[in-house]
Parts: sequence; structure tokens; C-alpha cells
Amino acid sequence: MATPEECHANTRLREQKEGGSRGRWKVRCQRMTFETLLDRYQTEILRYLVRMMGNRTDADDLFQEAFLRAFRAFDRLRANSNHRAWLYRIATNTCLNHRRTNRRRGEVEMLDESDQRLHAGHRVRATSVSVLEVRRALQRLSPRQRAAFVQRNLQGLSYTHIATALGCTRATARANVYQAAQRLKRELGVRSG
Amino acid sequence: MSTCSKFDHMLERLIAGDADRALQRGLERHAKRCEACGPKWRQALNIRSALQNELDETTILIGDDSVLNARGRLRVAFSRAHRPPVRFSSMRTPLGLVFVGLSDRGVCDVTLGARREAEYRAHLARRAPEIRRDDAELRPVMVELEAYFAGERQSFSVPTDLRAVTPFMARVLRAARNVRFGRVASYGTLAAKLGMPGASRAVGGALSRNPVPVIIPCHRIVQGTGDLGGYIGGERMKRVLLQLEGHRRVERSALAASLAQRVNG
Repeated sequence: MATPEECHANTRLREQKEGGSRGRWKVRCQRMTFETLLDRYQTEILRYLVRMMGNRTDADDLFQEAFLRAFRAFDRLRANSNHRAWLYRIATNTCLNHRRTNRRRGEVEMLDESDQRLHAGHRVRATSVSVLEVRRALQRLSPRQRAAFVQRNLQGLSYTHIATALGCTRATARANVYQAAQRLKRELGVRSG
Repeated sequence: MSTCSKFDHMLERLIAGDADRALQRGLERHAKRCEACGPKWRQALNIRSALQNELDETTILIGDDSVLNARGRLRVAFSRAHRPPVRFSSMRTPLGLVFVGLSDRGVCDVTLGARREAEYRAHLARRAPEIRRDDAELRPVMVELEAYFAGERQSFSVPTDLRAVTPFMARVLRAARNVRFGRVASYGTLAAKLGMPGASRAVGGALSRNPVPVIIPCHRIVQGTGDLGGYIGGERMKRVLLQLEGHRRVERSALAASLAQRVNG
């Protein structure tokens, strides 16, 4: 049975830039197995899905679905394309499809776990806006805006990569991020005291 | 630097995370001088800080253990999604046309009552990514089945592949395999043997979904009263199989007597 762990036939050669940002483009052979890809990006993709869905249960389900899809499509992935953006694209599409098919639920169960564990030995920035409010506001954005904003702000992707992940141009990606920022500013901004 | 008219847009840049140091300093300088823009600026900074807090919190909440969990479930999903290809063959028997499917580990499917190959292919397509007719590969299995239906063989030596069923079903099926040729057992006794007295219905349910009937002889399990009970291919097939195994009269009293004999013996 071909599990990704065993699937060494599924290797990719990848071009890598050597000698830092000023170095020449040299082709260096690197075995990129699906396993390596999974190891490298599983954590950030899971966090991305939690932020997109607003709860862990859905995120866990979509994590499976996204990586199953990725595994099936891995053979068709070109060696010189950006693996990270490609994974984000699959994860984002999985989220969007899920939202389309699961309209039934109204208010999503929020990622609202006790903060005690977090605040022990961990410095939290003083602010009048709580994390929960941020999460709620993120959930109220349109899925594409949320995807763009989360990728930019919380996942640290470049606009080029966001454009790849959303399947749009850089300008559209940027517009999505700004619309989200505008809406967050409006919703979290006006308050008294 | 920044004027009030541009200020709102610049704050959006700040929230989006696109403000470099120079822009941030410019905004700060303007906000400290301008009464209208000051509160807006402080609120934008609050949103930024809250976003940073979210970043930290999620990083801690979705830590290594969450990832390990998700990864474990992913492994299970992979083994389900990547089922091995199945080769199959068919033969005529007293039960009609019988199709047999073979995976990389053994017989994974026996289908009674499919009338055409296309029908069987459609049935297999749901559980195997690749299906191929391969009479030569299936030859050893078919030889054993032929001998069984000719009354020359009482048990099967070919391995079975029960990966597609649940662990509980696999346990029930393995127990059913121990009921020997010519004997019968009741659903209740089988349940008791598995350490679950009273679970005869669950046992019946598991047997009714036996992927490899005949090879795993679920037809040897009947009701405790001596009634025949159900069968995958219908009651008639169960009767034919039991007759083949030497039960001359397959009816209530005779089967009840066989069950009693088993208990006493």
C-alpha cells in the first residue's frame, strides 16, 4: 500500500538558489518527497485551517482532505513551482468548497479555549481589542478576504504567493487584503473609552 | 508627511501589515499633532497588537500535539484512500456465477449473485482504484473453490484480506472461520465465544457484510432455534451450501439437533 511515507518514487527535483539572495541560480538536486513537504508545512497549514474555519474540528477534517488532495495532485506539481503556495492553494480551495457545501451551520463554534495555559509565563500585548474579538471579526469577513488577510498577516506569505494560493493576480490579492483590513478597522475600531 | 485625507488609507496599510518603519514613524508623528487622527491611530495600533496576540495564542494552542494528532488521522485516511488494485476471475457453481477478487494480500472479495461482469466491476469500483480480470493469477483460488463445490475439499488454504472491514467485523469473521465443515453454530454461541454474550445481533450484522462468503463460511452460522437465518445471497444459497456440506435435511428440527450435538460434543 502506498502511503506517503513509503512513496519514494514520488520524488521531485527542485531548483534552489545557492549563496543567499545575491547568489546565482544554480540547480541543486534535492529530493522533495511528499513526506518532506508534509513535515515542513503541516503545522502552518493546520494553523491556517484553524484560522479559516474558526474551530478545531472542521480544521482537522479539512487538514485530512487537503493533504489527501495534495497527495493525489503531487505528481502533477511542477518541480519549479512554489510548494508552499501550492499547498495553500489546495487548503484554501478545500475551505471554500467546504463552506459552500456546509451552509447549514450559522454561528461557528469559536476557537475560544481557556487562556490560562497561554497566559502562564507568556507576555500578552496590552490592547483594548481581545483575541476573541479578532477571531470573530475574521469569521465575519468573506472567505476570500479572510484567506487573503490571514495569509498575509498571520501566515506571513508574500503577495505573489497569496496570488498563487487564491488563483488571482497580485493586485487582486492586495485588494482583498486591504478590503479585509478596512472592514476590521471599521468593526474593531469604533468604541467608547 | 501624512495628511488627514490620506491617513485612513495609511492606517489600513498598517493593519494589513504593509507599513514599513518610515511610514509607521510618519503616522506616529502626524497622530501626535492631529487631534482627529490620534484616537484612530491608537485604535489601529490596538488592532495590530490584538493580531499579534492572536498569532501567539494560535501558535501555542495549535502546537506539536495537535499536529501529531492530525498527522495520525491523516495516516489512517491515507491507508483508506490508497487501496490496492484488485484482480478478479469468475466461475460457474451450484450457486450460479461466482466472482472472486484478489488484492495484494489475499482474497478480498467473493460475490454471489452478480449476473454479469459489468455488474461485478461496478460493485468493485467502489472499493478499488484499479480492477483487472486475471484468470491465471486467480487460478489457485478457483481450483480450491471448484474442489469445494465438487465435494472434494472441506477448507480453504488461500489467504484472505480483511483490511476493508472494521476490527470488530474481522474478529467475528475469524471466529466464523473456526466452525468446521459439516458443523453449524448459532449467532449466540459465536457471540459468547468472542466474549460478548448477548451480542448475537451484532454478530449477525457483521456476518451479513462478510466480504468473502463461502471462503469464510458464514453460512454455517444459523439461528439458535434452528431457523436458517439470513444469507448474503439469499436463503436458497445458504440451503444449497449446507446441503453440500452433508446436512441432508436443511430444516428447523435437523439444524436444531446439529446445534445441540455441537454443544454436547
